[in-house]
Amino acid sequence: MAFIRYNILRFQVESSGQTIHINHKIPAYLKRCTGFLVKHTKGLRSDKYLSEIGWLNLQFNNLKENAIAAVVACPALDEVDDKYDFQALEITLKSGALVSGIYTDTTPITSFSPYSISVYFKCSALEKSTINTDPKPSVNPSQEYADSFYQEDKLC
Amino acid sequence: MLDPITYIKEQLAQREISIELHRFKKIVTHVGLNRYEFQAYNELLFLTNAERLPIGTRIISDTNIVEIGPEHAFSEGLEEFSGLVVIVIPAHVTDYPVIEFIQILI
Repeated sequence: MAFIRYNILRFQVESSGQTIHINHKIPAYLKRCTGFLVKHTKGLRSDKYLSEIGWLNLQFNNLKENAIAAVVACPALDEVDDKYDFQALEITLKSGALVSGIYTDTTPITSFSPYSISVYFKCSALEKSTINTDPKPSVNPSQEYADSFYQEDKLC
Repeated sequence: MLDPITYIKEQLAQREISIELHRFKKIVTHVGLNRYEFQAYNELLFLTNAERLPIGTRIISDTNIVEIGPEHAFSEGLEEFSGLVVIVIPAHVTDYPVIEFIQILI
């Protein structure tokens, strides 16, 4: 069983200046969100790098935690966009709670064409309190299992 | 009939947000000025008179964006705003409205 799970929120922007209201459920087995990445994934291509095509605001745990306010960029047509730099988050997810927020398009109307946005949530199925950070080796085999996955999380 | 204060208190109790103060906030709009900007950081603003605002009025904030449409004339729902708030009144209006919020300091 892999320790890290990625949950993806996708939406389509159809018109310039459109506001999209987001209500998204992260599966209940995911206990923590440790990072996020917002990417333009389809449509709207430009010869030059667009530093802002919209902005995103997301609140976690049924509007309790306002955690993400991000500007979304669009890479140039010939630019290889292979960076996957997740920004750090430390949210303890409540089971079945909503991720809510808005995405607003700010693309100039002259250069607009429909596009998709994907928000990748880097999540963990283990609660933080179950992770043993004690440097002494554990005698409990199941505890070692949790520790090794925690190491994997830190490396990724 | 929805009681806004009761709704807000219950909503914020569900979100485990404690209220430091709640009061009314009015934005008075004038002829010749169509854009109003103010800060509402660490506070929540609930719009209470959406049904009396001109159609096409946009209220833009960090957490919510609303464009007033015909549906707001019949809606009892309260729209919530926070962060940097910008109000844009359509250019063609003749009656400049007073925009009323319930302001919650948290």
